[in-house]
Formats: sequence, structure tokens, C-alpha cells
Amino acid sequence: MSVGGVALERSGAAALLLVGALATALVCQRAGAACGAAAARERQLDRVQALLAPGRDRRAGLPDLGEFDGLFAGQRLAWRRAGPGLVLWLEPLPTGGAP
Amino acid sequence: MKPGAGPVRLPWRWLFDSPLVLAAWAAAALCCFAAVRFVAAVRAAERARQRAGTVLAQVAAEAAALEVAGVSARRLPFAMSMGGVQVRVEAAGSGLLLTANPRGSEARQFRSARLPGAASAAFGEPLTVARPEPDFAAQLPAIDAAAVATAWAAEALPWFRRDVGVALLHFDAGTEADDFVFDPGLSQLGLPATVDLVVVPGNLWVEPGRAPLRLPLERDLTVVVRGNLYVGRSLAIDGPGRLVFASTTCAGGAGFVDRDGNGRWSAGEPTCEGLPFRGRHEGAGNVHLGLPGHGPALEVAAGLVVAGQLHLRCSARVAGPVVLAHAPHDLAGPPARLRATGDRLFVPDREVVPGFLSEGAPRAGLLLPVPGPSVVAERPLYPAAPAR
Repeated sequence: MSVGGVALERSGAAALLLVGALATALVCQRAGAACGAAAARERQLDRVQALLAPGRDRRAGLPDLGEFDGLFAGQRLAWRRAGPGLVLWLEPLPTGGAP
Repeated sequence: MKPGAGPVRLPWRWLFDSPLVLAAWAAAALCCFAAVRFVAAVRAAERARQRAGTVLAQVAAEAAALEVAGVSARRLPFAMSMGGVQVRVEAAGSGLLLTANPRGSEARQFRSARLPGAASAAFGEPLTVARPEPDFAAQLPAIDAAAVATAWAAEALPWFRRDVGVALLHFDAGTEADDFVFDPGLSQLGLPATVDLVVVPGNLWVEPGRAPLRLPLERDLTVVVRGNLYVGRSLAIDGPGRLVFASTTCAGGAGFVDRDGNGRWSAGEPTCEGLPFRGRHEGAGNVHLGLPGHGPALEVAAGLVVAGQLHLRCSARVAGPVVLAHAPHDLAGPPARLRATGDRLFVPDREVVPGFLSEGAPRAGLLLPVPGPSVVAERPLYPAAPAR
């Protein structure tokens, strides 16, 4: 192979590597963000399930539900009196859309 | 084919001999890595989405269950919509079947019992001691006399057997009432499926032993003891059921503080009601945790409702609700300690305890998820028959 051919091959290899690394970094960054968001959503769902658990001691006061706004598309949670106790209720977010 | 031309050979070194080929390999590896991360992210997002659908259905079903709590069965089926979730409530046997259908997700089903009211709040507390004034008995959970009248008697169940000698092994004077013990082979003896309340017409003994007494319990069980309860060793429960012992005073005996620890009433020992002592000499309604000369400490995986006097001969950890008419009396040499851990409590608002009256308005019980179609499909059509 000529000297020019070798140089072309090497620069092609470098470009391929660079593009591959950049694409991988971009995909990994997006995937990491998506995994983090999913994990945060799961933690919020854990907390909602803990609030749903019957027998939960609410004498210390009702916890604020603001952190769950938009957890369920376009909805927010609110306390509502029903029958013998309080129950979690879903209401549309005032803005009307999912954040 | 030209003479002398052989097949084209691909030497292995071609796979790594050129920088371009090496770079292609490296790029392919990076692509694989990125693809794995991408798939993991998609799976995590899908898992969270599925879970959000389940929790959303649960929130809506819970709200619907409380909404229909006071509705008569004639008005079912009942439908409501909340936050984009359609919930349909139907009567299913004596309970409710709730189907929640979140938008864009599969339907989830839950079952719930219809309860006549709430259990006594004491069943949700690790330890409750009634105040002496004005009437301590009125502060105890009320036993359902009608249910007790039709309950299973201990003699009719293989779990229990009468034992005429057990009391004399521990107290010189023995007892006057009939004594019952748990059958040693009870782990192999199941209770009939309908049994949730048993009445022991006398004293009940958990005999001393090296290993804890293990009771297999698939559902909640209340044992009403019309006499005294003597616990000589630790007691463990295998299964999800919760066990409650309720010792009651009766016409034939009264609760008293056994100050000398001899197992019978002696002159000067006060009765629980403050009236003169009457009836059988060992009294009734008392509970003895620990027996003379046995065991340094007990672990009892059951609840205790004690209408008489609780006597402690050793330290004890009790997992179920402990409801006492009077503060416990310590008979141990070194001070004994009663520790109510609260590990096996009830949810009074949403559960009832067999054999006890409920309070307040009718309501829905705890929601239990119904397995999805995929789980149902895996169940065998016929149960496996034992080989002959």
C-alpha cells in the first residue's frame, strides 16, 4: 500500500473510532438519564404505595402530595374524605397537561 | 477454473492487521455497549410505566372501595371514573370484585371483603392497658357472644386434647376446671378451612419444651379460653394467619392476682373485679407467661386479650396485640419484662378479628390483587392426584 493509502486508512480508522465513541457517549448519556428518571419514578411510586397502605398512622398529620404532581399523566393526588377515613384521590392538574 | 488457481484464502491476520479493521471492531464493540445501555433504559422505563399503571389502578380501586362501603349490595355493580381510570365494582360472593382500567394500560382486578364495621382500635396497637376507672371491662374489645355460642369447641378439633395430669406437673393443687393442651402432632393436623374461632371450655396449656410450639395457620384464628391460659414455651406461627388468645372470666371463676404464685387463690389475694373471690380455685381469665421452673424467656407470636390478670414468670416478647384489663403482675425473681413488638397487628379500620364485635359503619376490607390471566392460565385444571 502506498504512503497516501496508509495515511488515508489511518485517518479513516481514527474518524470511525471518533464517531463511534461520540455516538456511544451520547446514547449512554441519554440511557443513563432515562434510567435515572425511571428509578426516580419508581421511588415516587414506592412512596405512593406507602401512603396507600391501610393502617398507616396519620396522627402525625397528612403528608404533602405536591411531589407527586404529574407522576400519573396529567394528574395530581389529593386527600379526600370517603366513608370512615381519608383516601387518595386523583384530580387533573390545573395546567391540564403532563409535565 | 484456471489451472493452478486454488480457493481464496482468508488469513486470520486480516481481521486485525489493518487500523481500519481494528477501528471497525472497536466501533462495533462500542455500538454493542450502547445498544445494551439503550435496551436497559427502555426496559427500566417500561417497568416504571407498568408499575405506574398498577399503582394508578390501586389508587382508583381503593377510592372506589371506600366509596361503595355504605352502598347496599342491590345497587351493585357500581362504576366510577377517576383520573382517567374506569373502576367497576361488582358483588362477588360476600365480598367485592373491583376492576380498574387505567387508560393506556391493562385492567387490574382486586378483591375486598365487605365488613360490618371496624375492629377494636386495640387490635392495631402493640399494648393496651385498660384504665381502672370507670369500667375497665368496657374498654376491652367486646367478644361476640353469638359467634362464640356457635364456635368450634376445642374437643371437636384434632389440635387440642384434654389432659388430666398437666396441671399437677406444675402446681401442687392442680386445677379444678378441665385442662386442654395442644396436640404434639398438630403441625401435621390442619384445621378445617372454616375454623376461625375456637372455644376452650377450661384451661389451655402450652406445655414447656425445648423448641417453640409451631402452629400452622393459613387464616386468622381466635381461641377463646374460658379459664386460664398457661404458656410454658415460645410459640411460633407458620403461615400468614394471626392468632389471638382471649381469656375470659366466667360464672365458674374470677380473675385474681396470684401474689404467691402457687396457681390458686389464697387468702388476701385481690380479685380483678374487687369482689370476694368465688368459683374454681385457679380462677379464670388469667394468663401465665412462663411456668414454675421453666424457660428464661418467651417469644409468643400471638395476640393476648386478658380479661383477668397477666402474670409474668419470665420476660416475654409478644408479637400480636396485647390488651390487658390490668397491669401485669411480676412473679419472676429478677424483674421480668413484657415487650409488645407489634409485629403481627391488625388493621382495625379495614379488618375484623374473628370472635369480636365490630364497631362503626360497614366498610370495605383490605384490597387483595387478583392474579392476572397469565397466572390463572398456569393453574392446573385438575389437582394432581396421589399415585396409587
